[in-house]
Amino acid sequence: MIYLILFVEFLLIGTFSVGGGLATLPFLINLANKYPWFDQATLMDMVAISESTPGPIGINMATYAGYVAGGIPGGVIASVSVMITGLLVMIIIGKSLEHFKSSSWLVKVFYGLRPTIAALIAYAAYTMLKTVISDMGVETVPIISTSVLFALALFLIIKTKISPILLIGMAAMISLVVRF
Amino acid sequence: MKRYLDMFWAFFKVGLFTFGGGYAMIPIAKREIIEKKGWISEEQLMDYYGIAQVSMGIIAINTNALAGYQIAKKRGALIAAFATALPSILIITIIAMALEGLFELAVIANMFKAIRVVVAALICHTTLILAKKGILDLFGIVLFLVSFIVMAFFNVSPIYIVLPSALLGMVFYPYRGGVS
Repeated sequence: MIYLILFVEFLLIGTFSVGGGLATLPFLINLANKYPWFDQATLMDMVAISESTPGPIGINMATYAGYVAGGIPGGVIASVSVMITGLLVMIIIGKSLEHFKSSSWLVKVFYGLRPTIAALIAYAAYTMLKTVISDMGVETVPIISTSVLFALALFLIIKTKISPILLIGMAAMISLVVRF
Repeated sequence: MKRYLDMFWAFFKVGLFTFGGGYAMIPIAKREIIEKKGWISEEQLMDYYGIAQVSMGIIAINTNALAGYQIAKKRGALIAAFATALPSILIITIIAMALEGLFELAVIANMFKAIRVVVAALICHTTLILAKKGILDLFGIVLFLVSFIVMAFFNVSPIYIVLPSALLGMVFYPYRGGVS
């Protein structure tokens, strides 16, 4: 039964997520609210691991979420299901590529999609910030270490375009000597 | 048969050596699919990448599915997509299995608390970039705010937001002719 649910949910995620990278994240947040499989904190750990291992992030996230929900078969089902719609569309487009390239309705569709794609990721950011704040608790040390690391990370991302993997590695190192 | 195996191996390597998906895949795909094999041209690859970016699903998978279709029709698309996804499925399953139970260790728990802080920072930054690129006018501001509010405060699934946004984009698109 859980496999059927995973198949349907990830088929839908693969059908409605546009934009690549973390595009599936807001949908996975919604799954975490809907099913008892994993919580938002676990989802953030999946993001960290998906960013620092090889392969497309969307597939990594699907495998991980599927695995946590339904073991090895769950991971495989989720990863395959998330690809199906895209794959069908690509096979159809593959036949009439030139026609597709010159279609003007695409510009109009994306006029509406771009603000929403931004809102989807803003929703993910909002949820992740809430999780970090609840991780932090009310003690002084975690509040200071969390705030300083967040500010430092944001500064490095904007100023130096540091790679996510390096940033995650840096946080892991710092965690060995500082309590969060 | 040899050709299919050849394809499988080439796309498997693309999945294996790409960190982060999306554009990060292009240099590796160029080496494995274009320079080593000469199956498609660089212009074709960039066209496929462009189409995949505006399609539903996983960008890296869709780009490679189009390349695979060009090389060997439907079967080629399927082989390319699954070969690209396979390293992810294998690696993430192994990592997820290895990490199971480890989260109870205080050191690991503290490490992932720190990692979540930088993950939140990364996603905040992505939000800023997407908002800057995607919100161009009042229509964009309203659509962004409404989408965000219904997801964050009314628990509406992102699935119900994507399609209406695309339709609104078509209706309210303000430019005539070829503005992109």
